[in-house]
Amino acid sequence: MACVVIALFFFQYWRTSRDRLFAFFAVSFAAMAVDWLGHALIAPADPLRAEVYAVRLFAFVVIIVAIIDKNRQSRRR
Amino acid sequence: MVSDEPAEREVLTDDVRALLRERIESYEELETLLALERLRGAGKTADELSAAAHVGAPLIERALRSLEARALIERGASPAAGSARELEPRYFYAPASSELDGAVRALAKLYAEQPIAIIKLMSENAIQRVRTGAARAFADAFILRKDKNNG
Amino acid sequence: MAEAVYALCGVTSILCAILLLRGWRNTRAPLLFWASLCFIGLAIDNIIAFIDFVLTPPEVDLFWYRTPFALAGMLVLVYGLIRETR
Repeated sequence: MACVVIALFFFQYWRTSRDRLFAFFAVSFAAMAVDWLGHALIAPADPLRAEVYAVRLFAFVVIIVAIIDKNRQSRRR
Repeated sequence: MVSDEPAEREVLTDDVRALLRERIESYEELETLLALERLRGAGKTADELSAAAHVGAPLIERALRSLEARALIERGASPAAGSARELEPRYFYAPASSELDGAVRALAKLYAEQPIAIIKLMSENAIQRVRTGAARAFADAFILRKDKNNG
Repeated sequence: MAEAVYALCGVTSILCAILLLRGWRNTRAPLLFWASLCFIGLAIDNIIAFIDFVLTPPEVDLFWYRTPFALAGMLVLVYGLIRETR
C-alpha cells in the first residue's frame, strides 16, 4: 500500500544522505504497512488484534527514537 | 566522447572535486574566486572584481559573501586614499589552509585547460544539491531546539 | 491498552506534523508541507481510534471513518515525494 511506497522513498533518502533519521522513518512506515495489513487480514476477534497494536506502537516509538536520536546528534556537533 | 571520459576523471583530482562540491556553488563564485586568486595579495573592491570576473554587481555581492563564508576569501576595509567615499570593503584571496590553496590552484589550471569538464561537474553538483535539499530540510525539521540564527 | 497505544500514536503524529509545519515555514520546501499533511491525517486516524475505544460502545467500529484520513495523508505524502523527484 501507500505505506510501503513511502517506506521505500525514505529508504532511498537514507541511502543517499546517510542520515539515520530516514532509516528510522523507513522502518516506521514499513511497520505501519504491516499494521494495516494486519488490520485488513485479521477479523475483529480480539486475541490476534493485540499484536497488531504492538506493531503500530512499534512504528511510532521508532519515530520518537528517530527524533531523539536526531537531536542528540545535532547537539554533539 | 566515451573515450574522453576516463581521461577527464583522472584529471579531476579529489581535492578539486571536493572544492567544487563543498565550497563553490555557482559559476559567479567560480569566476570571482579565480579572479581573486590571480590577483593574490591585492585587495579588490566589489566593483573592481565585478569588472575583472565579468560578473554583474548584484551577483558578485552574493558570490563574495558565499566565498567568505566558506573560508576562501577574506574581507577587509581599507580607505581609498583621498576619497570621500565610506570605507569600501576590499576582498583578498585567503584560503583557510594550504591544501585548500593547492586545490584552488589546481582548479584554476584545470579551468583554463578544460573548462567544460569543470562546468559539467558543477551542474551535476547543482542537481545533486537540489535533490538533497528537500531531504535535508525534512531531517532538519525534527531538530527541536534551533540554536542557530532562526529561532 | 489499545487506548494508550492510539493516544501515544496520536500525540506523536501531532508532534511530527507541528515540527514539519515549522520546518516548512522556515524553508518553504514543499515536501515538508505534504509530509505534515500526512502526519495530520495519521493523527486524526489515531485520535478517532482512541475515541472509538474509549467513548463508543464495542458494536461501533469507526475503522472506516478514520482510515480514509490516514489513507489521504499517505497519498498526499506519496504525491509530495514523487514531485520531489522531478
